[in-house]
Amino acid sequence: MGPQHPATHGVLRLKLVLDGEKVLDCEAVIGYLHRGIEKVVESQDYQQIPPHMDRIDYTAAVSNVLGYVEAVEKLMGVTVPPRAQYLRTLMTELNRLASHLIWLGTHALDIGAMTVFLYAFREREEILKVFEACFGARLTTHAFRIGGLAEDIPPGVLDKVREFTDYFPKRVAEYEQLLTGNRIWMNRTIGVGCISAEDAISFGLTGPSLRGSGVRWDMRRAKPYAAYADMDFEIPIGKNGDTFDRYLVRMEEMRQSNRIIRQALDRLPDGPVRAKVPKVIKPPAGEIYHAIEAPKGVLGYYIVSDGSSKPHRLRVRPPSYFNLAAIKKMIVGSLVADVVAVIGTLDIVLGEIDR
Amino acid sequence: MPEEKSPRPETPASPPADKKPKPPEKEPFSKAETLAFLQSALPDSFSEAYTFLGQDFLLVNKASLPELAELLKEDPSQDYALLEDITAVDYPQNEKRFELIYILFSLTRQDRLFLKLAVADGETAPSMTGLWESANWAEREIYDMFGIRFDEHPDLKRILLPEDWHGHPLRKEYGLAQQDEEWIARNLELIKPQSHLGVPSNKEIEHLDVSQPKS
Amino acid sequence: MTLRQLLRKVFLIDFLEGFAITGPYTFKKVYTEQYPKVPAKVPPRFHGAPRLNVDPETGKTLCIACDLCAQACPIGLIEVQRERNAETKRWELKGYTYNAARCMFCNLCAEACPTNALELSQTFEYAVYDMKELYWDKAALEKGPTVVRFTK
Repeated sequence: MGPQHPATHGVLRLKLVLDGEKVLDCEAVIGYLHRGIEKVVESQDYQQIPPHMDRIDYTAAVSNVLGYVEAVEKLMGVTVPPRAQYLRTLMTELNRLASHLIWLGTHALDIGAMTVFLYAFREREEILKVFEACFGARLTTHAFRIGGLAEDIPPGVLDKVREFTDYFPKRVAEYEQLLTGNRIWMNRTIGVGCISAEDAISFGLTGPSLRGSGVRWDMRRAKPYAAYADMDFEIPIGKNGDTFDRYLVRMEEMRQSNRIIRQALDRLPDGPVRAKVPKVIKPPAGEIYHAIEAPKGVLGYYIVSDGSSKPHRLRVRPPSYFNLAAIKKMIVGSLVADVVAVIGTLDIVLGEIDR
Repeated sequence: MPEEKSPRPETPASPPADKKPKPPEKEPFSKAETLAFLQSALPDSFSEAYTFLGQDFLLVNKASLPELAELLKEDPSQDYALLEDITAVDYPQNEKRFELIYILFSLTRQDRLFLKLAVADGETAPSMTGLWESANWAEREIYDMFGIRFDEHPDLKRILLPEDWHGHPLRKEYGLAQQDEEWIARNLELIKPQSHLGVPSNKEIEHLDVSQPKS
Repeated sequence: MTLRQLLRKVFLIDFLEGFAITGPYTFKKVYTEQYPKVPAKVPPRFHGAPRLNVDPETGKTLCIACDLCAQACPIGLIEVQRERNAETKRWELKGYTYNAARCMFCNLCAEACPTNALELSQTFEYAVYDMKELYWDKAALEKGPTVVRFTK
C-alpha cells in the first residue's frame, strides 16, 4: 500500500502481508520525504531556523516554532513578556484546532464521510485567515521569534477570534451529530486499532493517541510552558484505546482548546511582545531539551550549543514518528479496510516523520 | 547559503559585560533520592551525575546500561515508564566521538532523567528494544544518521535513507550537500547538480563544511 | 402504507422539509470566493512578492546596500552587489538580485532591513512559465511583477 495512496496522508508505504482480507504482518517504509532538516539547521543561524521548523509538521507550524523558540529561550535564559506568552498560547491552540480539523476531515473522508471534510475545512479556513492577518502566511507561518513575537497582532483580529470561539462549539456539535451516533462510523471505528495503555506507553505514543488508551497525560499539564500554567482546561481520556475513543478524545480536545482560547482572550495582558535579545543569537554552550504538546503528541527539541551562532546539533522528537511505529501492533489481525482507519486515527504527518 | 561576502557584524545589541547573565553551569545532581538509590543498587553503573539547567544527567557506563535502565523502569520508586527519545550527538574532537542520550520520563512524578553514554566510532551500544518498544525506530534512526550499531536490535537497518545508501549524514564530516552520487546514478536518472539561475549549486555549497570548528 | 404516510407523499411533506433546510442557504453568506473573476484580498501583512521601495519624491532607491538582508536570508537567495565609494566611505548599490523561485517568504529579510527598502508586498499573482523569470534584479524588484488579470 502506498507510497502514492490518498489515505496515507503523504508518502507512506506499508508492506502488508495478507491472508485474504486479513492483515498478517505489516512493515512501514518511510523516508520518502526526508529533507535532512536536522542537518540543514546545523549550518543556519539560530534566528534562521524557525522557517525550517515550520516545514516539519506543516499542519501545525505554529506549534513547531513554539517548541523551538522556547527551547532556545530556555537555554539563553530569556524571559518572554506575558503578553507574548498569552498570544503564543492563543495561536498555538488555534493551530491545534486547525490541525485537528484537518485530521477530522481527512479521517472521515478516508472512512467515507464526505460532508465532514467540507464542514471541517470551512472552520479551518477561518483560523487560517487569522494566521494570515497576524503572521502574513497561512500555513508556514513563521509565527514566533526568539524572545517573543515579531510584532503585535493587528487590531480587529482578536474580535474575529472571539467571534470564532462563540460559534465553534456549535460547529463541533454539528460534526458530532454527523459522526458520533452514525452507525457506519461506529462500525468502522469501534474496536478498530486497539492498543492497551501499557503498550501505548512502551511504544512511546503521545498526545491523543496515548490519551485514547486511558492515560491522562498531557505535556501542557505535566510540564507547563507558555501560559498554560494559568489556563483551566480538562484532559479528556478514552477507555478502550480504539479508533472511536481517540476520535472522541480529539473532539473533546477541540472544545477544551476553544476554552483555552477564550481564557487567553479574556486575560490577555498589555505590554511588549518581544523581550530584548541580541541581534546575533549566541546561546551559551550547553544542551537543552524542551518538549511541548503539539497537536499530534509530544514534540521535543534537543539543542546542543557550542556557544557559536549555529547549533552544534538540533534533534527534533517528532510525535508522528513514534506514533507510526506502533502501527504494526494496531493493525495486525484486522482487515485491510481498517488499515486506512488506523492511519487516519494516528494523525500522522509524513513531513514530520521524515524531516 | 552562499559564501559570506563580508564578516558578520559583531553582536551590536549585546548587553554590556556586567549585565550579561552568567552562563549556566553544571550543578550537583538534583534528585538526591534517585542518586542514593542507584548508588546502593548499582554502585559502578555511572561515572558522573550532574544537573544542567534543571535537567538531570547521568553519565552511564556501557556495560551496566541495560541493568540500570531496567531498574529505572521497573522499580516502583523510580518508575521511568516512558522512553521519550533516544538521540545522538557527534563530537569529532572527543576520543569517544558519539554521545547517546536517552530521555526517560516518569508519568507518575512528571520528571525527566537523561542518560548519557559515550560511544566510540565503530563501537556498538546495547539496544533498549527489550525494555521499550519505542527504542526500535529511534535506534534505527541513529544507526541511519550516525552509523552507531546496536547489539541485539531485532531489525537494525536504515529507516529514512534507502537501505543501500553509503554514508551517515549527521556525522560532522558529512558535507551539507553531500550525496551518495553512485546510488543516485544507479536509482534515479537525475540531472547532475548544476548551477541554475546563478544560485550556488549543491557542489558550491559544499565548502560550508560544518565539521570545521566554529569560531 | 398508512394513511399518514400517504398524505405525506401527496402533499410533498418530505420534499418541503428538505427544502426548508437547504433553501435558507440561498440567502446565507457565501463561503466560496470567486477568485479569478473577483481579485482576492489579502491582509496587509501578507508576505508576497518582494519589492524594493523607492523614495516616492526623488525616485531613488531606499536601499543603502548594507547587505543585512542577504545575511538574514536562511537560503541565501539575495545577492547585493555593492562598492565602497572612495570619497564618502559609504557602500553604493551596484546591483541587487532576488531569486523568488527559492524564497520561502519568512520575512526575515524585510525585518532585517533598516530602511524599509525591501518589503514582501501583497502581490501574490506572479506565476511565470519559466523559472528564470523569477530571478529578479533591481529594476524588476522596483517595478513589481506584472499581474495578468483574468479575462474572458
